[in-house]
Amino acid sequence: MIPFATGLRAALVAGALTLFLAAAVYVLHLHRRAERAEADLAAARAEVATETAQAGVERGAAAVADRVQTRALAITVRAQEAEHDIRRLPEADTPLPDALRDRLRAGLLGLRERGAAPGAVDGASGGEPARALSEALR
Amino acid sequence: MPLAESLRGPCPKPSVDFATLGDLAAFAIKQEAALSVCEAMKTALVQTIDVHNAAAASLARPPRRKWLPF
Repeated sequence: MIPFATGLRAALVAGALTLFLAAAVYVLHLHRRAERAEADLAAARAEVATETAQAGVERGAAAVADRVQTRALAITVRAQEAEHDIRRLPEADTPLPDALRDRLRAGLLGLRERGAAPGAVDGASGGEPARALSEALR
Repeated sequence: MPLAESLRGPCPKPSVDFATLGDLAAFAIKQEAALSVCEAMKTALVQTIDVHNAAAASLARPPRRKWLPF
C-alpha cells in the first residue's frame, strides 16, 4: 500500500507537470496567434504599399510624358523658325548639283532602309549607304 | 499622346526630296530636330524606368521574423 505522503507528493508533481504543460501549450497558442496577426498586418501593409507605389508610378510617368511633350513641341517650333529664316536667304534658292543631290538622296534612303530592316540594331547594317553618302559628300 | 504611344510610333524622318541649298539646310535642321526629340524621348523612357524600379525596390519585403524557431 502506498503511504499517504508519497501519494500526495506524486499527485502534486503530476498536477504541477499538467499545469506546466497547459501553460506551455497556451504560450505556444499565443505565439501562433501573434504570428498570424503579424502576417495579416504585413499583408495589409504590402497591399497599401503596392497601391501607393502604383499611384506614384502613374504620377511619375504622367509628369515625364508632360515634360517630353513640352520639350518636343519647343524643339519643333524652334526648328520651324530656323527653317523659315534659312528659306528667306537669297542663296536658299540655289539649285544643288544633280550628281550631289542624287547621291545624297540615295545614300540617305539607303540608310533609312537599313535602319528600318529587322535586326538593324545589331550594328551590322548601314555600311554601304554610309559609304555612298560619304562618297557623295566628298 | 502618352509617352508609351509616342515611343511605339516611328521616329519622324524629314523628306529627302531636296532640290536647292535651302531644301538641304531645312533637311539638316529637321533631322537635328528629330534627333533632339528622340533624345528627349529616350531620356523620358529612362526616367520612367527609374520610377518603376524605385517603386519595385520600395515594395521589396523585409525578411519575416519568426517568433519561434519551429
